[in-house]
Amino acid sequence: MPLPTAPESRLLDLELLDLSDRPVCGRDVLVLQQWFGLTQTEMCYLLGLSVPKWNHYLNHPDAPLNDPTVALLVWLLATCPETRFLPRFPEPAEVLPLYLETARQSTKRLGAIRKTKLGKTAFGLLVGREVTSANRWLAEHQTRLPSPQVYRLLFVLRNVLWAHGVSGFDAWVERVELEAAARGLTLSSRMTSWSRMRPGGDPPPGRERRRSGPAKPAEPAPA
Amino acid sequence: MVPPPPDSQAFDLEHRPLRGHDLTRLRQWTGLTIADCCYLLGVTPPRFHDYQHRPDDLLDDPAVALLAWALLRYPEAHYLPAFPEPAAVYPAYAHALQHSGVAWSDPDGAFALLLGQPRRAAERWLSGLGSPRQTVHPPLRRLLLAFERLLATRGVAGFQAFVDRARFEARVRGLDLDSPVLQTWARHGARGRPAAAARSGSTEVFRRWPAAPRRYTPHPPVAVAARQAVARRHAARRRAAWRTRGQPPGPGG
Repeated sequence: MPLPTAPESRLLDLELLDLSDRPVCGRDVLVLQQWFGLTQTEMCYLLGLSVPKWNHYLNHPDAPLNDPTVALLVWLLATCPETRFLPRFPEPAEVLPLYLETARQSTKRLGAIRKTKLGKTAFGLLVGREVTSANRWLAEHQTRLPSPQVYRLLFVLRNVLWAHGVSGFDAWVERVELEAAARGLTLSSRMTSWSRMRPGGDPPPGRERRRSGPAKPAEPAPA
Repeated sequence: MVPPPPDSQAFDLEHRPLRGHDLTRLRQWTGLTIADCCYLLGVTPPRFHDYQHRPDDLLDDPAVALLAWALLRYPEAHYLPAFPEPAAVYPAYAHALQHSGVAWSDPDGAFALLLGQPRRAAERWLSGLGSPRQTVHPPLRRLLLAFERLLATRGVAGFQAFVDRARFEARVRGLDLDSPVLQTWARHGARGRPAAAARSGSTEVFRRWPAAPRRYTPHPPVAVAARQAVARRHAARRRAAWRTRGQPPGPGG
């Protein structure tokens, strides 16, 4: 089981975060967040802050941090890349090849009738998102990044496939089938999303099926 | 952080979907705080509380359900770092201190001060009767991990750089980290002339803690003579008004 690796050390803008001759201030915490590309929840975890404390720092950007422990931690994280302890979650493109390779060896199929192979299309569904999500994530110019939950799920999925192979993959698919069934869905080639289908398979109320062509006039009833 | 495998009978997840109360169990099993559990699952604290308040409902996000299931099923897939205890980091600190040019009369207390904590905290940490892990200051737990990695990768040079940085942060706050009488970083010691510096006879000019930026412009000081002139003018106007109305001034003046 591989251990989490440190985040990629992008070049830090030293003009923004030059701490050589001044104390760590509130704005440095914000710079660090933007530099690491973290959410507020993730940044609070990184520094061990509560949300009010975080807001206090943001409201006092030019004041030295009132907690010296946090100030020293920020300085260490900013100046010593090897001290960064947050895991680096993989991108979908990093997990997809391993997923496809394992799916090829598995006997699991998408649905019981048509028995479609689990491929790239099912990738989004297997991480709790839509069928089209994988295409969006894998596009050259990503319009929308995966959510924090999906990043974590990708990390776990990759490790499960590495450690348990096909048996781990099969257990994962069975779990997805169970969760889908609990929501009134069936993991099949017809499933496109976890949210569009209502329990029981009824179409959402107030929505009409879109037709591709003009509506045909109703035929007169036979006399 | 790899907790021991959970009791599969207690969770019994094989034949049922995950519900809100399973997240509470996950948190209890891992021994995480709510904030840490939010990071583990990638959800915000309000969302986590929402799940906890609906223990029997299905989790609305299937990704969270799959993630929680996988973390319970495969404990080895956990990705949170394990934060060390202060006592576990102390040997590396003592080793670096011994080989550095830093000379402290109270190495144990200096260990706590170096990490931004009160001097007396070291006694508690190193006595073996430490408080539960959750009650240790969360930023301190992270700093301990980062400090441990610093010592492991950069050795004495890294330790010296960290000490210099701590001295600098202390000096900005009007404190002398090397003073044997310094007990804490608490701000009350930095409001006036630092007691530690005064007792140690230090002649270094004290730099006050920078004031927080004001959101309003304070009124400039008004001279006493000007205030008295304004008061006399108001009194004269009041007397003129009473004379005009023909009413004597009341008991209030």
